[in-house]
Amino acid sequence: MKLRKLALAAFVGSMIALPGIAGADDEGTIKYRQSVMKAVGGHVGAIGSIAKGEGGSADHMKAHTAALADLATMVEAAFKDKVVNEEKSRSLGKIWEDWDGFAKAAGAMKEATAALAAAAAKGEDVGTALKATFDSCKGCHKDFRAEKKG
Amino acid sequence: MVSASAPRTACAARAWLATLTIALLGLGGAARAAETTLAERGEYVFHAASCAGCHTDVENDGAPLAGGRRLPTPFGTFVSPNITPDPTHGIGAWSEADLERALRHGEGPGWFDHYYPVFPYPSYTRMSGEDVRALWAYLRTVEPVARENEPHEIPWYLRIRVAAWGWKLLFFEPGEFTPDPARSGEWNRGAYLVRALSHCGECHTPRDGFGVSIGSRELAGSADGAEGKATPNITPHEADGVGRWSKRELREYLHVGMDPDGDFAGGLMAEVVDESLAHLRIEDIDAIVEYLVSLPPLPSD
Repeated sequence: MKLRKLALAAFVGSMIALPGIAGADDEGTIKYRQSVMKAVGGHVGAIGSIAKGEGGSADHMKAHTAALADLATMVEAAFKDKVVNEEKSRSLGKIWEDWDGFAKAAGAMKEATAALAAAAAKGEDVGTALKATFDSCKGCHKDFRAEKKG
Repeated sequence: MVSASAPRTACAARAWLATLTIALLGLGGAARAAETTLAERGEYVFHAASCAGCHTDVENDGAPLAGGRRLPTPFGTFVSPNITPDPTHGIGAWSEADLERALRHGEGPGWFDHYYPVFPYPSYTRMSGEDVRALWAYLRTVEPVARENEPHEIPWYLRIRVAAWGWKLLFFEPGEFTPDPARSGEWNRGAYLVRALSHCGECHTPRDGFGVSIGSRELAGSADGAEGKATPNITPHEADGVGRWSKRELREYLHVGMDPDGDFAGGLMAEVVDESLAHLRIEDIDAIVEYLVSLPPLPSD
């Protein structure tokens, strides 16, 4: 009796624990890459605000642009696993069908954000680098992300 | 900044930066050098009306305005025509009156040459005469390209232009935009841009089974917008639309493409920002915002 209970407990325990051990399921993949992109958006939003003089300081600009340039080096890797889910994600299958194109777009982001961080670190005007950064955002979203729904 | 006398090409990059900086700084005023000639005014109309988007085969690096972009719709795939001044394959043999008839009545110069509303003449019909004239002057200055038009891939019963004629008879109301005297000049300018030139509703207003925009659902988002993709609700509805966006956030999204979350426009909207809205004067962007926030807030379906 006691043994059966113990076996049952072990079985139930393993059922609950397994998905946790499994780690990178599709849902987790989507969650992770959305978190990365949200972090990107957070920094870009803050950089835009500082550029407009809504808040922050030159030091904050340095910190946000450095963090953005760091994040940009992770974007390509965040999308390495193909998961397409029209309900939960706006990533298009084209990312993986045209991986070279996607890697190029992610590379453009790396380049633009590195230039932006360099300009901010030197205390230079960030206008040109900021425009290039925004263009890299749009450039990639244009081809590889679905429109927002209703 | 940009001097009025500097050649446009030489300062294009700087003009862009100036536009961006001004958009970011939130300063209104003279974002661009004032256009002087009719053709230059026409170039502005051309950008506002987003002509290049459909009439250029962007995906295959097609020549500007030489057509060939495939436009999938629920009624079949249309292939956009060449509107460069090439006399054989483009509209080089057209007159200004031909362009006006096409924009205002959805009718080509040929015999019984009725267009399908994939060409957004239900919006362009509202264009002012002055804008049509300016657009014509600009289109004459474009590089002619001898690219032959391709036939549309549509069912046989639509290939007969009688269907387009019948559609117009039933559902199309031609007529220039008339300002609402009870509203401000800015609001009326915004209404004109949204409903005529920028033709926002062609994608953001849902259509019925006949492909007719549903007037009572203006800009409430469509499950089946351009290229079969869903488009968002852009009425000021709090939960479903852009009701929580400030005017400044709307302006920034339209002019630069960045939304309040620091996220960027993608898909066709990124094209619209790049090809059209980014070229507009900040006063025109503000006018669009003024009109949008005045609309009835509609929930999404």
